[in-house]
Order: sequence, then C-alpha cells, then structure tokens
Amino acid sequence: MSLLVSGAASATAAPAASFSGWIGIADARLQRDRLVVLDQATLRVREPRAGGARGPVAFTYHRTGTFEVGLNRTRLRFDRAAFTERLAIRSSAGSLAGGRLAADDEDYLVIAGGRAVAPPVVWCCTPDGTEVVVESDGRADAPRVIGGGIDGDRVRLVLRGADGSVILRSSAPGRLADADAPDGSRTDAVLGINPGDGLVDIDRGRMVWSDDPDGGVVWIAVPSDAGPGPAVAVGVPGTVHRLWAAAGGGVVLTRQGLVWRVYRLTPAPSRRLVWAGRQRPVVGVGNGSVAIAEGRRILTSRGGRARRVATARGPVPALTADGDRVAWFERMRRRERNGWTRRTVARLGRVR
Amino acid sequence: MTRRVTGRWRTGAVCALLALAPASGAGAVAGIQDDRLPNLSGAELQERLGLLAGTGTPLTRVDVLWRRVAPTRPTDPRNPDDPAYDWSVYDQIMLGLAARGIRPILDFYGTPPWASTRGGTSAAPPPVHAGMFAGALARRYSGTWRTAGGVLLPEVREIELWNEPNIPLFWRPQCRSGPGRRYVPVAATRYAALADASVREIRAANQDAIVIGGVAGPSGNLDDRGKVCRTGSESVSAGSIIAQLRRNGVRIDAWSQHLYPIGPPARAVFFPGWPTLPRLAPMLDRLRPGMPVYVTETGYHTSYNRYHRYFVTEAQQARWLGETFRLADRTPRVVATVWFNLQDNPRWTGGLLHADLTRKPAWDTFQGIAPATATRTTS
Repeated sequence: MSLLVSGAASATAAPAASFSGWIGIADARLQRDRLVVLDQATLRVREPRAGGARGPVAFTYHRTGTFEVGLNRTRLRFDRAAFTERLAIRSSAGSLAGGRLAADDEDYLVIAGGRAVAPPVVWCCTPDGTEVVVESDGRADAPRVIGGGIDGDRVRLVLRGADGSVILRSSAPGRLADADAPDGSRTDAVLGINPGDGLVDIDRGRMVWSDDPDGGVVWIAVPSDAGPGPAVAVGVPGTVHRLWAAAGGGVVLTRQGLVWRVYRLTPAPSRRLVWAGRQRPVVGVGNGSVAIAEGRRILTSRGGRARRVATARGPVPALTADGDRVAWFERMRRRERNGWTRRTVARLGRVR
Repeated sequence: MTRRVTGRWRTGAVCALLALAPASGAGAVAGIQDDRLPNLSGAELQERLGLLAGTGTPLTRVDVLWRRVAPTRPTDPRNPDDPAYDWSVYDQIMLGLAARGIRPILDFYGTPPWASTRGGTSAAPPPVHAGMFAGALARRYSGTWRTAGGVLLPEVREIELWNEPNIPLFWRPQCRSGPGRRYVPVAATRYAALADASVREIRAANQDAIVIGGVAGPSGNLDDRGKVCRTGSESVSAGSIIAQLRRNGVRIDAWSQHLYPIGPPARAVFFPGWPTLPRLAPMLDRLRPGMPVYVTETGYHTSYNRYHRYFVTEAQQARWLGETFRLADRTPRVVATVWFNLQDNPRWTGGLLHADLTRKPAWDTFQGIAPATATRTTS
C-alpha cells in the first residue's frame, strides 16, 4: 500500500502530512510522539483476460491497517509530510470496515471491524516493532469482540459468544517475551451485561457501556480482571449512538429527534453538554479532551462547551484529541496539470 | 471506500495462466506438510504420523533443522555418523513415513550457532559447511545407510536446498546498496554458492537424488528492478536467484516456488501466484530446458496471523484448496504441490485442523484429492 502514501520526507517539521486519494479512515489516535490512522478499504483487482476474451478477471479483497507519522519536539507539527504503513490486515472473508483504535501514549490496539468473521485484534508493538495478535479465531462460532481498550498494561476486550454470553478478557501483550507465546496472564470474567456492538469502550481505568441505547442509559465503572466494579448509571436524553471511555468518566453521542448531542459523563453521576446540533458530528476523544467536527468547523472541549479552534479546508472524515492537542483530516481536491487530484491531509492544532 | 489496485505486476498476469498448454496428463502429486513432526519423538511421533497418514497424503515435506542435527561442529561433516550429528528424530520420521507409504521431500535450513559469526539461525551460512551437511543428509537417507542399531534407513530422493532464502526470516542479509544506490542481491550470490556446493555433495552421496533449488518464498517479485536496499532486509527476487544460479553454472534438477495467493487461486494476479507462475518458465529454461517446478508450500489461512496477514473463511479455504490442486494439475511443469500446514498454531493458521485438532472443511477436500495422486511421478 505504499502507493497510497505521498509527500516528501523532510528534515524540517511539516505543518501537514498527507495521503494521496481520499482514504477511508475508520479511526485515529494521537499519541505522545505520533499520529496513528486506522484505514479501511475494499480493493478491486481487475485484469484483462488473455487472448482478447471479453470481460476482465476480477476479484475483491478487503484491507484494514494503520499508518503512522511522527511528531516533532513541539508535538504540534509532524516530523515529515508522509505517513508510513505499519500494520496491514487483509481478508477475502468479508469487509473489515468499522474498526476502532485504542491507544495510550506508547502503544495502540487495532480492533478490526467486519461481520463475516470474528474480527482480529492486534496490539502494536514490542520494542523491536513486533505486533502481537491478541485475538484471531476464524471459526464460525468464535466469540466476537464488541469493544475494548488499553487499561494500563492490560488490554481489555469485551467479547460476545455465539450463545449470547458476554465476557471481559484481559491480557498483557506488552509483557510477552515472545510475541507468539500464549499469554499466561490472560483472564476471562463473565459479565452480566449485554451492550450493543460498539456500545462498550474501555480506556485508562474507565469502562462505559450501554445495553439500553434507546432508553438513554450509560453505565460507568472501573474495569479489572475480575470484571467491572460497581457501576453507576447516567441517563441521557435520546438514543445512544456511540460512546467513549475517557478520563473521569465517558463521552456519549446521542440523538433525540433531529438534534444530536455530545455529553461528557461522570460517575457522580452527572452529565454535561459539550455540543448540540442538527448534523451528525464527527467526534474524537482522548486524554480528557473532546474534539468535534461540525461540518468543516473543528471544535474542542477540555471540560465545558466545545469551542472552535480551526476551520478545515475540506470535509472532515475523522479527528482525534489528546489532552491539549487535536488532529483532524481534510479531504482536499487540487487541480493539477492532468486534472483534479484528491488528497487526505492531516493537520494539528491546540485544544481550547 | 473502494480502491483499485495498480502496479507493475498487473501486466499480462492472468494471460500467462490462460495461455498454458493443456495438462501433460501426468498431473501433480498432492502433499501436505506437518511442521510439528521434528518436534516429536516416540509414541507421540507415531501418533502424529498416523494423523498425517489419515489425510491420505502420498507426499510430505520435512524440515531438517541443521542447527538441531548439528548443534556442535562435526569433525567429519560428510560422515552422517560423526558424533556431532543427532539424527534420531529424523530417522524415526523417515522410517515412520516409509512404513505408511508417504514419500518425503527433505528441506534443510537453520544455520547452527557455530556456522555464523552472530549465531543467528537465519544468518547466511558458509556455503562449504552447508554443502557438506547436505551431503551427509543425502548419504544418510540414500537407502544404503544403517542406524547404529543396524536398521536400514529408507532412501529419500528429493532434497530441497534451504527454505525461502529470499526472505529475511530465513536468510540474512538479503541485499546491500551498491554504487548509485543500486540494489545488490547478496542473498542470491551467497545462495547460489550454497546451491553449488550442495549439488556436488548430494550427487556424490546419491546419484539418483533430485536436487530442488530456489525454494523461493512469496516475496521479492519476479525481478529486482527499481528496488532500493535500505535495511538489508528487502527481499531478493526469484529472478535474481535463478540468474545467479545460471551464472555459477549450478545444476539443480528442479525449482521450488512457494505460493500464498491473495484472492482465489486462478485470479490471484500478484507474483507469485498460479496465474503468474508461468513467467518463471523462460528463466528456468536457461538453467535447464523444461525444468520442473515443485510448489512445496501453498495455502490459505483461516484467521489473521502476523506472518501472512491475509485470511479467508473456512469455506473459502476448502473451496480454494480444491482449486489449487486442480490448477496444479493443469500447470505442466508443476510436478508436486504441498499444502502448508496440517494443524493451526499461533504463527500459522492455514491448517486443515484447528489448533484443538478439530477438522476444518478443507480436511475433507484434501482427503478427496490427495490419495488419487499417489501414482503420479515427479521424476
């Protein structure tokens, strides 16, 4: 996929890093020294048949994977203008769309999407750059990961079995001496919850879920190997569409009638409105900050209502935040000598 | 999001397959490898050999790990009875396979600590040492050698020279940067020297041996044009290895190519795949006209692993296994095709069996194909 990446590497800091084309960004995360993008694509391979026979030979396969770009010392500029491919998961089993990234300052976790098979989960990476495959089971009745994240040195995943049972699986891929060895520290805890797909998230000592999204109830708890501790319910108006675990509690995207809202939740219990509008926003959460793309307007929040920090030059397919920084992606078109070209450009800004 | 794949590999890829001549009539022998065999012994090994035989396979491939057979440097390396050698597991395997009517292809690799400066298993070995080990291997399984207990060991005719020397996992370094940042395929040069030494030693041990070279992994493309060597790990192409074998005048009997296609077997247009395999033919003809091809590894994974990064469903695996062996039959130079592997493990998920030994649908497909190929010949 190196064809995808464009932009000349530069010794000086770059204000933007880009891909050629409009890539399908499933998720993105800002870490201390890099920006990670999870992309997804369906690749159609077409070849002419031999001897002038009619019709091409064609087949399709699916891909999801990560691209990374480093940040310079200010952590508000890129160290070069190009992304580098890191992980690649390819399959003919079915689409891998809808994946999620979880991250801490150093490592990240790819939870691939897809419904055809149980999606794999990959942790990246050991000091020598080796990935660890945390979950990979191709059996038709394999349990499916419906959410998860990084919690200190533990990776915690919520899986639903074919019989509907839900477990919290904890492991420590970062402690493995051999990336392919079984994880002796792995534990499974049976949960008495039933969250919808994508309606459970874990991050740095918080677990949030909703098993009644239409009822507008979100639960917040502290996860452990034995399962979540005592959970606190927080009510929100409307239907829960997506949620994120975050420092201090969680963030939830809801819809009530025509109005979309983003709330910050705490286990007090309390909720605080971050943003409301009539257009579904693109939301990114990280390290206590919330970033929202309202059309081309980039807004951020450290605690209160979201405030505008920038205006993108094109549609924003994804964005993410990390404490005092925000990163967003713009879909650009540029006229060149041989016609219009498309680019996906990443930019960085400060959270207000 | 839909993206169209482009690149140099596209040109004429599928055309080559469709332009193939009709099957020669002989067809290819179907086999399967079980990479656990060298890790077992005694009753466990016998049970495992029974499991392998249960697939109905007439052919298998056995990894002979040089560093395990020769953990210390032999004083008389051509002599299989040198005290430094430990063949005990391999003797059991060869006898067990012979008893079950399964023909093995032996594949030696894995540099012993004493044969490299840093002791790495993938370090390019001194060609002379590797050649003498190949000679000892061929001599021990030449059909004339007896164990210390007087048991006559079976003859093994097909011997592969190393495993995937064009992949840094098995051979380092792959390349260096030459003048003008030119890509210099050092793995090809060193491998050709190893092949040269090995061919001479194997022939001296068993004149009837079939020496299979290349054993090229699914990486590095057909040639090295346009490549840049940055880390020394950028894979060497099959074309460079063939060219170097020709330059050195190495007389291998057959070429081995590993195929792990992305996409259905007949449509997988990346090199190497079934449609692109015939592109090797003109190059191989320069080594020896009509040189046969062994596909000593192929397969499809049914869940993600970090070594291949591409997976299919179990139903697809079963269907495409059938297509694989049908394509092998229609490809005239291909004399044998070996599915890798028998059982899943965390590193490799292309088995006919899950890690817990339950069968995937591909087991039945293989069982329905392999036994009928037993009467075919590779020579």
